[in-house]
Amino acid sequence: MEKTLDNIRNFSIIAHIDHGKSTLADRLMEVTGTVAKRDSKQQLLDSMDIERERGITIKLAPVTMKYTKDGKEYVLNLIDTPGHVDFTYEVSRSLAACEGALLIVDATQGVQAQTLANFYLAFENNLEILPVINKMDLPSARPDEAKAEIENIIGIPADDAPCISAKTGLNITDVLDQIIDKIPAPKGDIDAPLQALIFDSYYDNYKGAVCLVRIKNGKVKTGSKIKMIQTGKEFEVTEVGVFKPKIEKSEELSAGDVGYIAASIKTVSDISVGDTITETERPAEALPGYRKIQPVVYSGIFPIEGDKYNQLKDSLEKIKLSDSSLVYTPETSTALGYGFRCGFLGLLHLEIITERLEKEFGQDVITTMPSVTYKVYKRNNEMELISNPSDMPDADSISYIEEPFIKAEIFSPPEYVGGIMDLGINKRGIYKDMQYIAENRVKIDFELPLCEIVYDFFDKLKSVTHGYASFDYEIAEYKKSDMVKVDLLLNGEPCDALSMIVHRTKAYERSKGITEKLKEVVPRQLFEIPIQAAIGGKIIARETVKALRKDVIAKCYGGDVTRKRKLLEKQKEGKKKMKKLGSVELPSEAFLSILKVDN
Amino acid sequence: MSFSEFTLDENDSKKKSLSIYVHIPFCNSKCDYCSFVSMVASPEEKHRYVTNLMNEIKLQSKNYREFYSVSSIYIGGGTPSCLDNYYIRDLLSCIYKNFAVKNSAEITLEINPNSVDQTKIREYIMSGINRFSIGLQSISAKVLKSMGRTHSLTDYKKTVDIIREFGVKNISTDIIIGYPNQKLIDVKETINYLIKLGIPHISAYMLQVEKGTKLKKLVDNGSLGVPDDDTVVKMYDTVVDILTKNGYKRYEISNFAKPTYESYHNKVYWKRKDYLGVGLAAHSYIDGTRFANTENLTEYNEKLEKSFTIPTKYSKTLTTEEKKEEAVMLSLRTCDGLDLDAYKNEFGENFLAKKKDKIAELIKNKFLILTKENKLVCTNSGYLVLNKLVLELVTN
Repeated sequence: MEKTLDNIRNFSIIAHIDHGKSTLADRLMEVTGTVAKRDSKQQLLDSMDIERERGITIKLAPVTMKYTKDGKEYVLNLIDTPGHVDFTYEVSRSLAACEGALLIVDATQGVQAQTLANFYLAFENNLEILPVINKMDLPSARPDEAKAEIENIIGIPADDAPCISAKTGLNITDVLDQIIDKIPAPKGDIDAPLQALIFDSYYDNYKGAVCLVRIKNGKVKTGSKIKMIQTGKEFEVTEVGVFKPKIEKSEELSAGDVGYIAASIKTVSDISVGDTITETERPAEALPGYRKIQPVVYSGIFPIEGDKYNQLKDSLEKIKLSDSSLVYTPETSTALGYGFRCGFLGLLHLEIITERLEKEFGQDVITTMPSVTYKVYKRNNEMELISNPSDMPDADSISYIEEPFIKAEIFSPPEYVGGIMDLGINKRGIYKDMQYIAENRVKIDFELPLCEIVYDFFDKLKSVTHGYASFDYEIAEYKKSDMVKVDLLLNGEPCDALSMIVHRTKAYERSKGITEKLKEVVPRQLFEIPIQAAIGGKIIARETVKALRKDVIAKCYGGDVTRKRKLLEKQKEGKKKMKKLGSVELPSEAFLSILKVDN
Repeated sequence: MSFSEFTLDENDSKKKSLSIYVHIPFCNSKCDYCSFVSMVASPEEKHRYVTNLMNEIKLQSKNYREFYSVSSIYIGGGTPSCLDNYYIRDLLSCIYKNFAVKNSAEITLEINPNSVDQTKIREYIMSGINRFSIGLQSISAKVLKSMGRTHSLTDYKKTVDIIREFGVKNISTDIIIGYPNQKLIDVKETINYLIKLGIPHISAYMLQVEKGTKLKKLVDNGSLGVPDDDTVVKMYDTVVDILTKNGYKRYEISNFAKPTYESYHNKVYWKRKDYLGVGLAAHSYIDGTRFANTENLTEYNEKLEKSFTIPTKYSKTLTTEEKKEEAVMLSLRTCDGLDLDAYKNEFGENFLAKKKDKIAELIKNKFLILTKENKLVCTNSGYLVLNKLVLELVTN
């Protein structure tokens, strides 16, 4: 029988960057005695470099805390969420594991862009939202204005919002009390068949792939025979436990709990975020909201030095252990040799993977032009799926091409509607609908070509709405489009790694952007290098990298030939990091920089 | 004191040739662009250094005097002329005492125009100096000031006059190309002035904005702007053009000389002949090994004072591969270029055949020429991109 699990509260924290999310999380852990004060540095979040550098969190690390109120002990589970559209689905699953969210607002800055964007996501997931006013220790704190903004801009009551300082620890217990008083306790049936929502996974060298779960119904313990409903795979549980924030084994996990399940699972690819774990003997229904994660953008990854192919392969295999959304198959390029065609959730994901390859595995790689998957219908009535521009059949043999579209939902304050409309149209979008959800909140529906949003749509959206909009999308359908293949020629030779498929109306603008960018990043060489973009045989854009005119003719003091040697060695190292395409040497940054070309 | 005091052994003519470089790391003031091992020092520090330098010479002579006779000596810095003149005399006589120095040896001293006078020059010449290298850099007072140089054109002219009064004609002068605020006209005027004055040897360097210099700071914070590449190329081409028309030969990438005035010592470096460097941070190349002294003055002094050992900090015996690379890198700096027959004799391989395509491409694009004596020689535009040419020639 379903009942209210009154001693448990599951919540996440949403905030604008720098409004004090991790500091508050640290303080909550301290006040509840989960960690000692002296250990309270960086324990909350997994710390991949890239997360810190970008100020976004990608991996989620939950924590279980105990807190006693009015003589009763409660279990509080905090589930953190990442903050980028590439990972919207993962965020939605994490939020689906909670009943409430703390919305942190900086008392000196009030409601900021991300506050609102993140609020929309939480709101869509029907969470109870508790505003918290932070940074009361600062002299410029204006809690009343912040509260008024929450009520006016976001449209939720903020009168009772705790005014705290995560830094000094002021009123932290108010937050804990409100979590208990205001966030609904989870409901569930401990005796029902097991239903555990997988909201994340990670790889552990000893335990194998580990599922992070929220138990909705039933219970699970060591020895339980479990089944993943979507993938159909079965396992025997080797260990269950909770995060405090370090993992701690426990007897069992039951309805309402948040924790981990290890079951000798070989790779995280066997675990799908959003999937439901149930019992083999007594299977339950799948929980709603599952979506199979599919790559939306493909790009080639090649080692700069050809003989590093096997190392790259090993590195990708290792990354795959902890990142199930990465897919890859071997690929050969005329210009770049042997490498891999990889599928990503988005461009940020692509950048994360290449940075991990470089930083964790020491691989110097280059990535080719990203592409979505097109349906190419040929005159002989065959259809080919093309996600690699160099596989594009001859223009003559093509009847027509279809490109994937997405359904986009954009939430925003009404004053930015004009800018959003312009952006949508500029990205070849089809406007569908607009609704006022609340006085201060508009939902705009667009259909957009996927290839237009994988580049910089989210960045552009943030810029036209000053960051106040949020954006979610799902892949919709293929539509007929006038796509063309644009080739890039370096010194007159086509470079397959740089060719791309674009809409005809965007071909010139994009080619111009790319040739200009390449001109900036291609180092001067002994010869002038023309950089051209062409459709078929027709050149549509051209830039020229002038020839190197001079090195420095410097004094060689006292026969210090070693200085010259060092310079030569340095140049040789630099040359190793260049990819030679015909007679042109390209640094790996050249390939990455193209991704950043204004679309 | 004169050369006759030091008679050469009968065997000296059979000995190998050695050149000696002596480093004096002191200056009266540090120029804004300088990144080399030099400093402003007290008389006591200078005295201590020279004492140790002479000890080093004595130590080194034990290793080499038996097998080598000295063909050239070059005292550089820093500013050697900022030492009191008797130090130069003592240093040279120390070398004469401890090494067999040929009568014909070229003995050069680097001087700054404002650190010398008649007495000093006379002393130098009496001590054996027969070639002077003067750091002029530019004749424009404005440019000199912006470099942080403390001399004037008048100082320079006076110095040249004094040297000539004592009968020494072998004078070299350094100039810098591409300094902030420098204009093409300044370069032209400087070169023409030197030609008119009959200076038989000129070294022209391009300014390199080095890390850690005052100049680097000024350029980085935008208070100074260096001329762009095309302008510097034009300036250098102008230098080459004017000097060539006036009977100077570009015998090395940055050195120009009237007939018989090419510097023997300078060529030693590029022809990979043996040279011994003494003093702080001095570099040597002997029998296929490159080695260098510490760049730390305290360490230099203490090594010699306390343990009476040579303060070598770096030493590397070149592999055959490295020798091949250096043969290319260094010989292409000279007008004799890379002698392909000599290369084959030394390394047993045909460089031309090995790099056929690349060399053909570089010749086609007028960076290199192949002479009928089977030598690869840089063209003027090749000299300008020599680092890149070498890289192309030594890598695949």
